[in-house]
Amino acid sequence: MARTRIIMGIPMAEQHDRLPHEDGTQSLLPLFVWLSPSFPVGSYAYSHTLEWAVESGDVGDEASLIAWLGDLMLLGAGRNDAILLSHAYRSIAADRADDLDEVNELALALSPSAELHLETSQQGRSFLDATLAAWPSPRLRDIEGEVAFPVAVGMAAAAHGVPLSATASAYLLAMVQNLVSAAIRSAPIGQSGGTRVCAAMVPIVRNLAEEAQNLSLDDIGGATFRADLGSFHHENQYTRLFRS
Amino acid sequence: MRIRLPRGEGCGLDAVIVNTAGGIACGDLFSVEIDVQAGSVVTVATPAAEKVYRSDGPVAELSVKLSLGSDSRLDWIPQETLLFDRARLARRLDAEVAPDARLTLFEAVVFGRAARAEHVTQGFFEDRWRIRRGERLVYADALRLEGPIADLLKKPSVADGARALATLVHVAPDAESRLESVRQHLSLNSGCEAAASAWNGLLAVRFCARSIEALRSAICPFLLAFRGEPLPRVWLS
Repeated sequence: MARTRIIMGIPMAEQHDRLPHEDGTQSLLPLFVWLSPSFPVGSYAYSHTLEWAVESGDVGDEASLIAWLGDLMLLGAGRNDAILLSHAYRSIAADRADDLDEVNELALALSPSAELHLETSQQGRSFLDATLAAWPSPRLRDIEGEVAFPVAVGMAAAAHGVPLSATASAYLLAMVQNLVSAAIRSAPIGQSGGTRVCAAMVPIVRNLAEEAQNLSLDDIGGATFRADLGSFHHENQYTRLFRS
Repeated sequence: MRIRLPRGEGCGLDAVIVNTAGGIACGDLFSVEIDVQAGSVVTVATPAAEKVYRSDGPVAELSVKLSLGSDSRLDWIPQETLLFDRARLARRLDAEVAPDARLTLFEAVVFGRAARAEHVTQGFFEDRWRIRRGERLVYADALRLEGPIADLLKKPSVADGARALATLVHVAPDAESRLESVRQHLSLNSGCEAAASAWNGLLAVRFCARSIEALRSAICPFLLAFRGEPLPRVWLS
């Protein structure tokens, strides 16, 4: 069972003193490291059902990739992850350990399949371990057991005072970039096509990140029933490059 | 709503929930609570597809709360929920399962019957599931189709033009070990895509069918094989 280890005895004033940087600004720079492909999380190993969508013919060119990613963002995991990330962020910012446990439990339970559960829990654990090791903060606590990826990113950003809006946007854009990279490796989509897809997704991601910050956990939901079913099929796909 | 207890063919209690109103209309509120006590075996079904009629605005709400005591078994296998154009339904399904209990949840939703020229263009359908095992939330799902339902269903990531969707979730100590045999029972059916996954003491199966007929021809033999006993008599009439 996932439970937060609570570190007692840190005065609130000291915690909040650590939020802004010395010159009063809140840096976005950690996001460039945390959500870069070189951060040891292993995102490149996951396709979030895209590999099956390519195999089954749902995604075969730039236009169908944009449509598929748009649905994933607006009707599926993108929107839900942004809501979960926002709630994890706020529970750290407000020092509410019980809320964090609830968000993390929900985030893990929302995985619709074995592979999507692995995708979020493995990346979440790797992300939290790496940030705890390289970016320690009294506000960043370990979670015993499994941790979902958007929850881990929200926790780290809140602990280091990185603004929520930028964090949610960067998280979603990293998800898009990772899937575009997966598409380039598995579908007839080239580098320049992939770049155009990323550019097309930027406004969608930005609007979604803004909207998700104001949504409750009850707003979580989606319509990507068949994409999730694709994740079930992917377990039996004959040739696979990806773990999801 | 009424509950009837016809003579069962399986080993436990067969219950049938009858909606005496004959369907669900705008703004209706229904609530069902079932408490399966330790060691009991219960199957719950409905006598026919539950029809959800057009609403001029208010959302009908259906709330189901299931509780399974130690070493009990509950099969919740109602027949399809059938949505008409501009229907608005929010369904909540909450289950609390003892760690050694066995729960099978099955729900199907059909967005209009093609054979009867029923087409759902607009509407609202939300199906929210929460399953707790012991103290822990182990499964959460919220399917939500809002607004232009026909357009949404056409999207490959949603249903690729299919209009009958079904989900089975099985929570049991041996749920994961049944994955391979379940896959063998999901033979290729024309007009119905189906696949299974298992993790963390859960088994999930999803069906995505072109029509209610294609869905039925896939799920009836599947449920028979999966449960290892005949479907409740109401399913066959």
